[in-house]
Amino acid sequence: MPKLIGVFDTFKNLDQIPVSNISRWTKHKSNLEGISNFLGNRLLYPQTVSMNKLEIEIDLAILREAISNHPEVVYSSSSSKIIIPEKFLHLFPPPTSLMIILIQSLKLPKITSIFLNDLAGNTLEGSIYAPLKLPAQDTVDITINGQKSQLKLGTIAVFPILEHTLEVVIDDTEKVLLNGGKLGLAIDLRKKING
Amino acid sequence: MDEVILQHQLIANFRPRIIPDRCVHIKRTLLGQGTLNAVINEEVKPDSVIGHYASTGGFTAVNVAANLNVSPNEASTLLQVPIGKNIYSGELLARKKTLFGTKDLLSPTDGMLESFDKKTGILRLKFIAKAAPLLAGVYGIVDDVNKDKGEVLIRTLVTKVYGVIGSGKQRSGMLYFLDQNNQHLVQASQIKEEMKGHILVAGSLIYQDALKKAVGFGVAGVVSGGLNFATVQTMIGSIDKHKNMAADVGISVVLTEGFGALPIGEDILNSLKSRNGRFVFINGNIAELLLPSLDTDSILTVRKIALPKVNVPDVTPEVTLKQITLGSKARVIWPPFMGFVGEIIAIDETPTTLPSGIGTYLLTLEISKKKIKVPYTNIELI
Repeated sequence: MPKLIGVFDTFKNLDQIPVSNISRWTKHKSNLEGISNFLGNRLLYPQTVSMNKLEIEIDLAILREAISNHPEVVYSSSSSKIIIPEKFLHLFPPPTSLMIILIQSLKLPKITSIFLNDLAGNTLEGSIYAPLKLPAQDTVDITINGQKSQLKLGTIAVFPILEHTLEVVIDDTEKVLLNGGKLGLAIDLRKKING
Repeated sequence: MDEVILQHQLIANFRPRIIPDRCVHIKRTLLGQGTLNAVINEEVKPDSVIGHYASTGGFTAVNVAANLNVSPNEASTLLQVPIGKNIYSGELLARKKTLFGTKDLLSPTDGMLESFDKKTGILRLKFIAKAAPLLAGVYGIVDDVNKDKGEVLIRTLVTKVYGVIGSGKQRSGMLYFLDQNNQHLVQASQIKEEMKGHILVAGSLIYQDALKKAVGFGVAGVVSGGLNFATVQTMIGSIDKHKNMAADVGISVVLTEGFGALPIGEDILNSLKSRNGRFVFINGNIAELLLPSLDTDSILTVRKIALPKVNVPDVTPEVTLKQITLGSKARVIWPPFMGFVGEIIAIDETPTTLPSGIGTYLLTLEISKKKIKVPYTNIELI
């Protein structure tokens, strides 16, 4: 018989995630019992929504661990695509937090496209750009459709741009065509561990 | 939310919690060596004796050396009854001569002196088996008697009560409220030896050490609004129903609401209160309580219903989808107000953005003597 489910239903073995792994991403790290009970109730009642910022923080921490343990649920490395249910936007606001979770949980190549999936199919709604070679200086000049910004090395920047086609120029040297949308564009300037 | 959800399209999970007046088979089993005197088609009442068995209560330890203030080795020479013999409560167990007369140690219970440890000075007393009656516990009709297994199958009318999760096989016992306060948190100090064989109603939560103590004392079951998730995981491993094999750690537990300290919902609480001190059945693995009918006339209904004797496994009723309508009864399944039961008296026509940033439609629920607003996703219809 059908019943309401939640976004975490697609991830297996969530109840096996050590609570300490979830709590390390939250402000109230010491409340392990509270976080443990939250996880249990989230699994028991997957259709429920978080009421306040504290609960959203725990939900995002669970999502982060879930994606880290099972990246294949949202990410296809062969096609460099992230496909997530449209419902993620609704249940894990704001979109910038969701983008950061995806970047921090997955090992991504230089360019990754992000699709939102709903009943109509998959729609391209964002992208992540992670340059492989980082410049020597502390900051990087980024121009997006003519708008210039300066970003610090070692950071992740998320631009909530709805336009689908974006011309991105990095340090006046590299030009690349990327996509915006409901999730926008994220630029990952963190140091890469493997080259 | 992008899509517009019309009022009449809001749906929620419907979880059956209380199913009254169901005719079921219950099994009454001899708890030791004994005989059954029930016959097929016999009509029974709760206090009908359907068999007798020898109740072996286990063992107790008496520290003879400490009680008489002697060394363990000397204590063994002071016993007045040899090992292997019976002794009765109040009889002389050991005696030490003093300057002023004697210091006597009397037996605390009926038993057999099983062994004496010369290193510790502790005597092990095995309780003498006593004849105990097996009562029917319900109004019903005997459908089967299995003398090899010592089981009597009785057809009876019950109210079925379902929690959300549990652990443990089917057991039976007297329902006992540990506290009338539904917010109660049960500590180990509240679990007493005389609760053996009972099914305890804990309140909001029972701590893990209290649960362990209950197992040690032979408590049959515990009903609680909540339990810590970590405690449940030690009992059943995974809460994934596809992976969760029927577990039993020596006690049957049913949680009515979820994880953490959560008061038992008023709907279930009222059903349980009416059975305080009465015989009930608990099956933790399907989170089920069977509350036998208290009505003597229930036998009239039982007479009209035939049940197959085939062993059909019991299952928890499925959770289904149902449309949310005004007047529906609902239970809040997320904090705040988790576990509270009430009636839906209003459904918002426009979404509200919660402090979490999530936009959703709110319902107004009338609970106890107040009104609360909750997201429609955070309730279950009952």
